[in-house]
Amino acid sequence: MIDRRRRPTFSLREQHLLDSLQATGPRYYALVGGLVAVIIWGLIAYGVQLRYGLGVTGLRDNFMWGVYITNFVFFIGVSHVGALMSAILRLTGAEWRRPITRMAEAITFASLLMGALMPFVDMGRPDRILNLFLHGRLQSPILWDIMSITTYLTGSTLFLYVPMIPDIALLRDHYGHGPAWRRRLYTILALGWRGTPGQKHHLETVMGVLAVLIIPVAISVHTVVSWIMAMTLRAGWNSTIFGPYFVSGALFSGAAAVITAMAAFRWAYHLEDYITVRHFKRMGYLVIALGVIYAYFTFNEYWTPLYKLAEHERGYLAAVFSGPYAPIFWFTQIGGLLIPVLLLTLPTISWVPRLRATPLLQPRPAVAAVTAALGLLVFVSLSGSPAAALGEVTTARTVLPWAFAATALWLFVALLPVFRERPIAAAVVASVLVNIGAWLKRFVIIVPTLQYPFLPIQRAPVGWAFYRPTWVEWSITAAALAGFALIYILFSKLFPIISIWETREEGTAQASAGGEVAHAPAP
Amino acid sequence: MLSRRSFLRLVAVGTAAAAPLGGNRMFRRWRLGRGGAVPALVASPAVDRTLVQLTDVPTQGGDPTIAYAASPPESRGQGPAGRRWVMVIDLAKCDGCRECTRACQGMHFIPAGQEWLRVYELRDNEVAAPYWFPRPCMQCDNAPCVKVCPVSAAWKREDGIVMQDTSRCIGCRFCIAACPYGARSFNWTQPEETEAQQNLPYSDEWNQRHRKGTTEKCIFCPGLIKEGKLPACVSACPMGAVYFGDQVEDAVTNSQGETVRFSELIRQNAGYRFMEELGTEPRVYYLPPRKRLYPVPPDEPQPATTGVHP
Amino acid sequence: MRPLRSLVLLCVLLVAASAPTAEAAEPAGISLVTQAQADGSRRLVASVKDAAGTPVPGTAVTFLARTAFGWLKLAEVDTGADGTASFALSGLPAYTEVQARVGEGAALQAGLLLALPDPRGPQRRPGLDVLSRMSPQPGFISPYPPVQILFVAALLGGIWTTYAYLVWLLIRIRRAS
Repeated sequence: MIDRRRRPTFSLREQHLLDSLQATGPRYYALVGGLVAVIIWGLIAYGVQLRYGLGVTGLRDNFMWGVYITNFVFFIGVSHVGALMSAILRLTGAEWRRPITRMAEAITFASLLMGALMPFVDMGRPDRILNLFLHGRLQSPILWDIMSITTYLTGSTLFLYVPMIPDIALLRDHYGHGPAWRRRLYTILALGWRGTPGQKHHLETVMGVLAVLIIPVAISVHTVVSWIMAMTLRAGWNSTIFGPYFVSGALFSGAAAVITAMAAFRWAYHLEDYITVRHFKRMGYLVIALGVIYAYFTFNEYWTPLYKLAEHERGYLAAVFSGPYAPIFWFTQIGGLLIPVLLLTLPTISWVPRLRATPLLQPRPAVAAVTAALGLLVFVSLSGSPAAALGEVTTARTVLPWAFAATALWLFVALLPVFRERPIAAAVVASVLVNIGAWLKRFVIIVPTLQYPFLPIQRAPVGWAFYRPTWVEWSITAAALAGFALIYILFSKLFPIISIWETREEGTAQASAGGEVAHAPAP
Repeated sequence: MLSRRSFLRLVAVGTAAAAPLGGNRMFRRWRLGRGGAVPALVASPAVDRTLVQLTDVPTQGGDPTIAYAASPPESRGQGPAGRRWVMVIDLAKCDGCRECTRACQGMHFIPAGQEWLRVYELRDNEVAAPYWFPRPCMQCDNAPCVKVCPVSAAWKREDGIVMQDTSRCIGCRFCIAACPYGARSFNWTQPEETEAQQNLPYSDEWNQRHRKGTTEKCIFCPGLIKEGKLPACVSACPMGAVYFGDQVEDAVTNSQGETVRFSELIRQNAGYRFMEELGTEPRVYYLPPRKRLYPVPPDEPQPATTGVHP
Repeated sequence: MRPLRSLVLLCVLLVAASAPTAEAAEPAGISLVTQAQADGSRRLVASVKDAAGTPVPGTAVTFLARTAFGWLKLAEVDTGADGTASFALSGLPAYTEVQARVGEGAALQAGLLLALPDPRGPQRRPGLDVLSRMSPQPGFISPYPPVQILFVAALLGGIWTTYAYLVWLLIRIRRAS
């Protein structure tokens, strides 16, 4: 409870931003309970994997990496948003970033933790993890991974914690009636912050140095992660541009994750005054720019081998463009890249409202059609033997992806007027599509290459010639996502999710530009 | 600070939690390796899937109990000095009988579904005829697997063999991803072992004790080489298509007892290395299938799967 | 008297003349020695003798060397007039044991140890240049290539030193309260 007796001039703004720490209604407990249940189920699945070995997954000798490494690359990718928002936007002086930097850094923190967990889950002998430190070989890209991820995690934790110090000091001073451990935590973490000029100077120094330092560290992290694949000789992985390719994809999906987080907190904690449409628009511009860059790298990555059609690369290229992996791939490009960018740009066209009048372009029938097509597509893909999925050409498998694409296009056009009126909804839909596409894109980078090694897959036992993830892998993936969400939600309960002192300074900056009455900065 | 009680509780919980991770097998291996009676049982090179007591092996320091079977993981011996093992496979003689594969699988009690030496049926283009292609581990001099292993479980011995230390392997499978020849196999589950096998001490030279969650591969049978015998696949080939020997001595021998000069063999028969352009510097040479001694394989492509469940 | 002596002499001469002449003798023994050459290399000399000990010219002698798994045929040389066949061991790998053999069987062969074999296997190292040519250890395989390690250490060291500096600044914030 905020102790108003101690601070009679407590501003409404601060009270509002700190309310989120208290808001724990039944919905909150239901959500946390659900997430914990998913995590427990994931732990059970991991226990099964420990007991019986990695054979309970769909991985086999030819497909030695699959869903776990996809998760790894995905989470580490999302974690780049911290460097982007906190560092780059700070250094370029983009004032609109102030309400969302902490959200972004918290995403980085939670995502790095989950991402670093994934290779551990993927290990065949996790009991020997100490060997990495006792017998580690610095020549191995995995050791580079360990070094860069721990460096980035340390830097991100600092970058999350240090800007929170003034807010923690606020909580230390005014958070009266909570449990004792909470007050003690705030006292310890506040580092005796009093807002003196000397302390502020040190704080600014730390934040400035970190902002500059964290950018190359972040870039190195995903570059090194991409080298897990690029340092091998396999067709499709043996590419020189994997570093920038992955980094641009990481920034892209991270920026989209922030949009989702912004919308979620805005709705849950009623932060409409602090996270406005303007923020979604600006983040939308970032997402568009990063998406274009990612599309550029993707295009390079596929167009150059496609032109040459070297012997060893024909297999995975055919599989990705027109083979079994084509529906996923084209979804990631169109649904995960093109549609989100269009969702963020097209609704602003002036004649969009006229679409509403068109009888064919009504949302409801389009939604029904898309749901039906998607349901059928998923059903047909998952039914039947996996071997058939790779080789068999049935009418259903050829027609259904096109049917889904057509209905999705119909829905997209029908919804344009709706999105024009609700730009935040458009941004959220776009960001969710981007992240689904990002996960699937990592899958498409990893698995089709494994289907076409240099020596053809011959004499493999049944089930070893294709990759079909099992319930263990999906459970652990769901648990990782739930863990990520849980860490994030618990963080928002412990600390204010919007930086109070930084947004106060934004008010100051605006006031000095606009002439409003400003609060005195700090404490 | 943790009170004493809670600390003890933590230790107990931690140990109980760690138990399923390694089981008691970890500790049993350690006890066996420490000294005392070590059974010198190894896979019989002559008969598939049987274990024999070694009796006439040269011992170390005169102690007959310290046989080849018990090479502790710390030793990581470099193999006989001054050797550089090399293998030559004459594709003109290989008829695809896969006796080599069976000998290898029997020799090392290889878990089901794995073929450390796999005989492919390849066809370079539409005009060329198909041919049989046995692919052991190439023991590359510029081995991608050695480069990427984070714990040095894949390491290159002085005599050229790329060894695999399954007591150190953490099962990350980076080596499998890096190998362009697909020569490595992973133990996805605990391989079935007979009682006798379970009592064997760990030996990296005899590929003994297959462990769940580790990677294994052909290692040119260092145990047999130490005894002066050819690797299992070499001696099993009925066509004498596989030659094995020391590049320093410039001599390779096959199962028919023919010892030929290695450099002459390669030079006279246009010997080559598979996918030389990858730069892995393999130690297995191939002689092209000219003037075949066997009928041309059938034209239908090999199926991806054998239809057999592992 | 004189005619009897000359008759005995004639008989002796006749007996001597009618004695069977030496045919192309069967090789019955072979011996093998080495000869040091001026350039430091060695030459194998095998001499073939018949049962009586006379050298046998024109016999094919096979020189073999012991390798890891079998005997490698080095050369096949005919014996000269003096019943010896020789073979120069220059430009060849250093073998521990050589053999000279006449015919296919093991009946007529002579072995020679050129160096004392170690029961543990050959201990000679042919020279690091030979070994490294045959089995190079590229930078990322050999243990701890110094340049790469130095680079990574400098990079990481710089970043973590900066972190330490930042933590020190935080401590100063604490102290300043």
